[in-house]
Amino acid sequence: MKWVMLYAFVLIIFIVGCTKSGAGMTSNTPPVGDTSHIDSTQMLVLSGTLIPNMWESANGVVNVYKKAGIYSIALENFTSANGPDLHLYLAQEATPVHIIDMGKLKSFTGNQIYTIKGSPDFSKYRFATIHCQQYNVVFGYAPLN
Amino acid sequence: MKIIAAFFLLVMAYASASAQVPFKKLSQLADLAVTFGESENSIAASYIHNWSLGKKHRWELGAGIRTTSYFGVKRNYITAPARLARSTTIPFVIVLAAQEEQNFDTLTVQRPLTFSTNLTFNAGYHFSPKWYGGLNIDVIGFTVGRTTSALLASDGTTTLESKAKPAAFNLLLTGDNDLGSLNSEFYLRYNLSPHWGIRGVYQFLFSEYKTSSPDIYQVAPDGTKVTRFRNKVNAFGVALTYVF
Repeated sequence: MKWVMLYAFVLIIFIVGCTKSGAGMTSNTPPVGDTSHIDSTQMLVLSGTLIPNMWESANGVVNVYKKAGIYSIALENFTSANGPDLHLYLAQEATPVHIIDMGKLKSFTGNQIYTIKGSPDFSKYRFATIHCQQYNVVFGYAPLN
Repeated sequence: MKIIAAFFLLVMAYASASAQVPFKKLSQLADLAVTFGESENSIAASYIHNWSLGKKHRWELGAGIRTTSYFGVKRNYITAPARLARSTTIPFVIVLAAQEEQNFDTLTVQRPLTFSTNLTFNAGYHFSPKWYGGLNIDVIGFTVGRTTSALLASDGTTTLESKAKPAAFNLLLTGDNDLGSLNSEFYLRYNLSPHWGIRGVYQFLFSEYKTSSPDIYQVAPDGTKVTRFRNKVNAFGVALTYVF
């Protein structure tokens, strides 16, 4: 009986050790086409091209639009390597320290829009960054001009 | 709470009235416990040395040593210093003191992993030859662990700390006065045999991380810099005990 208990206990430990840490997107995540509402009334405020880091490629164009006082940030023709917990930031630095987190990436590929809460000071927040938050890896950044 | 207290009183009364069985004057135990929380878990290994009290040796007090490994994903740590976290810092009274939530900032530690080794205080009671209830709490020790990234949300801004580190020194000072990572358990043990027992555990664990980058800290209302942040873990678990 005691060996059965011991075996069950060890089994529980292994199960705990194998729990999935953070559900992320898979490589099968379909691309999103989420820029349909960008029309001629949207004012292009800032734009930049993603510079991928040495190992993890994030490519595409980042545009910041403004309409009726509301800012939005668009990833266009976007592709990225798979990664867990990828977030889009507005950042003051290329290697992010002071950030505004736009949230988790909606997809590894395709056009996508994120609404910016409030009115950030774009003279300070001069970069858009794709960042693996959990493992602290920058996949790419775009200087915004 | 009253129901739980009444239950324990009933169990104790029953145990006292049941057949008298001699309990050991000295108990030495080894124990392995696992607890399960929300995106956080712990594994603790301990050695316990208890001395019995009273004529019937039902009560036990003792000391021990425990190593606790705590790990999680994206756990929120809040402002740790007691003078900011509570309305009073008087030992023991602080446990019941109001929380000063307006002073709380949050450090979201991405991948906390700590190994804390502490001396423990233990107390328990033999309800019957099969059932034993007790508590234990870490008193003093040290912690090593993983340096990991974290997000500090403070005063409406968010900063990314790439080098959040576990607090190295642990000391029980009661409530939010505590320093570092300290584990405590309330438990009920069932003895399967003279040597083996299993425990059902309620765990209350403090885990502490510190920011280490020079420009990443919370500015308290009194202007001081705060680098200590604490996660309070409530979890349940199971344990396997070997009685020597």
